[in-house]
Amino acid sequence: MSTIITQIEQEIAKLNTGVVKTNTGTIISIADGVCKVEGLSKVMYNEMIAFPGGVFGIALNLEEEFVGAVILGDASKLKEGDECQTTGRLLSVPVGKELLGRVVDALGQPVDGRGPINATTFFPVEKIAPGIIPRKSVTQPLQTGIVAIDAMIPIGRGQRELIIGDRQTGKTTIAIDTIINQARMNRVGLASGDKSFRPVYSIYVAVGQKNANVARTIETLRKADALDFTIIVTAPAADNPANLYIAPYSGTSMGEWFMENGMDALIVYDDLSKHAAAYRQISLVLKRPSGREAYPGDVFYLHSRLLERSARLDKDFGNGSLTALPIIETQAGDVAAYIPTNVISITDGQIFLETDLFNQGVRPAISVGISVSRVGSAAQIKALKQVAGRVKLELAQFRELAAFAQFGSDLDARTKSQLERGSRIVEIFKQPAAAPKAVELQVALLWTIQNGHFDSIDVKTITTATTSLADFFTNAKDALLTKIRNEKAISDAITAELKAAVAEWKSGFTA
Amino acid sequence: MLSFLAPILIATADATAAVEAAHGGDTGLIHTFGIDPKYVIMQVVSFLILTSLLYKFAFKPVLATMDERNKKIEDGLKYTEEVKAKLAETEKRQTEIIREAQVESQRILTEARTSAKNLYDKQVQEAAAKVEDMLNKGRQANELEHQKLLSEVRSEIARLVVLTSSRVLQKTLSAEEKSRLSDAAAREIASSN
Amino acid sequence: MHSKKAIKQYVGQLLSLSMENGRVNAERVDAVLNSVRNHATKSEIKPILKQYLHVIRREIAKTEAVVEHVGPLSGTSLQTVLARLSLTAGTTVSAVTRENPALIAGMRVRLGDDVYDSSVAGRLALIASEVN
Repeated sequence: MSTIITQIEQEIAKLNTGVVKTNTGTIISIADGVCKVEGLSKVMYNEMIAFPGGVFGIALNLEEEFVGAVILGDASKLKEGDECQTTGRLLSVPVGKELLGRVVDALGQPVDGRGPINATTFFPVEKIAPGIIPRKSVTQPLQTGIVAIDAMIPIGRGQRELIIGDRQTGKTTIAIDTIINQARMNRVGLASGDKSFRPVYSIYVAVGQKNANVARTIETLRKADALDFTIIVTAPAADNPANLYIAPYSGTSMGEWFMENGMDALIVYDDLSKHAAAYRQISLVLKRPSGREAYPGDVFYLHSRLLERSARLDKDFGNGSLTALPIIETQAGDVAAYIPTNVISITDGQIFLETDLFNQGVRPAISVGISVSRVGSAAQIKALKQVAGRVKLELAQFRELAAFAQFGSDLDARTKSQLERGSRIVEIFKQPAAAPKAVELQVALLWTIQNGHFDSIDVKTITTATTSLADFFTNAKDALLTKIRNEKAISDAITAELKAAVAEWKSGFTA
Repeated sequence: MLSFLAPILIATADATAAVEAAHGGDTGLIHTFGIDPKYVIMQVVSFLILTSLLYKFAFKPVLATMDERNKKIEDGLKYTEEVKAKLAETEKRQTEIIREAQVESQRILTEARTSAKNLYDKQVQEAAAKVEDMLNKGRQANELEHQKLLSEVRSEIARLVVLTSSRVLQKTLSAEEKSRLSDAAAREIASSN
Repeated sequence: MHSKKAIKQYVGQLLSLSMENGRVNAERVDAVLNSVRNHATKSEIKPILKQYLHVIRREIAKTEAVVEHVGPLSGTSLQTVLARLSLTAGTTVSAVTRENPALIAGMRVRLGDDVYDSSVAGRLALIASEVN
């Protein structure tokens, strides 16, 4: 009790008891989370405005007669004639490791009922992206744990890789699996005591999602023990559009703290189509001129300034990185719509998910043909390059042949073998949700299929065989996996060991 | 095959000659013994015929059979030798295999034991870590709850303090005091920037 | 002159005609009103006057300080405050005084959008918000 009193005393002592000068204004109209304020003659663009009842807003439109502001939080208690004042602060959010494991709203306030966050550092929500000099090209891999992505569409630290697809195609699952894999690797890496190990902290920004979905995602992360390395920023569908608009920027600020302090972070924006829709709503209510699909003219800038903040910094600037995985939902596979094309052009590649593949049971439903990573194999470890170099080509050939083979009756032996190999590769890429595979295991599995050790196994039982082989490797051949992980390349010795191990597994495997 | 008949014939001829010589050409002796060259010749001829027939139909097959038997016996002996050698070799290999199998089984056993031990250790560690984690989480939750309570109390106290002081001040401030405060405020405003 | 924009522009011109030395001049306002009455059509007159009233009010608020206080206020302290405000505003500032017991004690001055608060109530509110 006495501590409370002393705390209060300290607070009072700290207070500046001089004259308080404020710049005020009056609400002249308020609707849909947006208000017009008369006065506020000294307000800055993007400055926070304090409304009565502890509600804040952001000045977005500075006009001759009035100021247009979006209200963050509960706008229902505000009314016309209420007085508001400038704060002299740009909107900022708490950042730092104190936020890990917490669920916060767009303003960085905790919403998980686990008490206040004792963050000491605050970062402005809007920040100019790092320039050319501090940047460095992407060279370190960021393993998603999804074999198809790590083998064919590798993602590097500091890259922006778009996940795009229709609803219900597993977009969020890919992002969540990636977060889970980072947590798993962090645990392994930190336990190994390797000084050069760089953990990856994750930030999941849920924009305009149902609260039930967010709760499920949190539960998935908690079950996978990944919450300790993750910050969740949530602006659910029920929130004010201003909160939806701000949330990705808040999340990015939290990620930038890691990047600027020489750490690696991963941020998932789920999803940016809803973010654009929220911004469209604000813009329309603010009576800004609308363009294509009723989006305002600066909707490209909305996303480009957000995604440009993800970068890999040079050694002289701390060697940190922020990797972005924006998600975009398309309508009926239309990637040529306004927002998808915008974000595709901003990002360094995209993972395209197809409904047809998803329904065929190919999960993750990655369409290999149009999914790319513009950073490419620079972000792959050598071992994976050795075994996965040809996979994408083989799979593309397989797809073409498979389409062609539907008409043909007699196929020559070469075509047949290509088809067989292709269908096995497709099988090996199937993976359940929340079960990311370690990169060394991926290498071992891909090595097995590339060297034809799966050719004698029936295509229908490949999935069982893969699981069995993976179990065999992790349980009985852990030393070999560790060796692959540490050497990061397949030497002759490792090849021999792999051969022996696969032979041993095969002798005991019955489908 | 006629070779062994020749001495018989020679012996027969010798005997005849001896008999003839003993009698000194005395045919009477020959007669006494009833020897008639005619019969003798006939006997010789018939004997020869018999011999040749016997030779052809009896001796030859018998000899062939004997040869065959001889060979068979020889083969049998040789085979026995071989079998003996093979048996020895097989036995040797068998022991070898058994030895190898034992080594292998030993190896597998050790491997299984180590991997089981590793797994056990890992699981024990994990369980310990989990317990520790849970304890930590519990502690954290407790701490958070405490913090939350404190902050609530703090804000409540602050609110009460403010409320009381405003009420009290409103009632107790005299007109002079108010005027003095107003003047002070005016000075403050004037000196502010 | 039917569009809002045109009216605003016109009123802007009227406003600049009504000013003298950075302050609204009553005589000039009279003259302006007379001229509006004579020149504007019937349909225009209402929106023009409405807008004119609005901008004149805003302009007056920039040079007329609203001083809220509790208890008697001495003339000298009011003068010091006004001198200080005139310095910032760049023109002479007049004052309207108003008694406001809600302040408990002290003074609050409003000039245009700016509010200078040196009242006990304001400080208590500040304490309450800081401690929370």
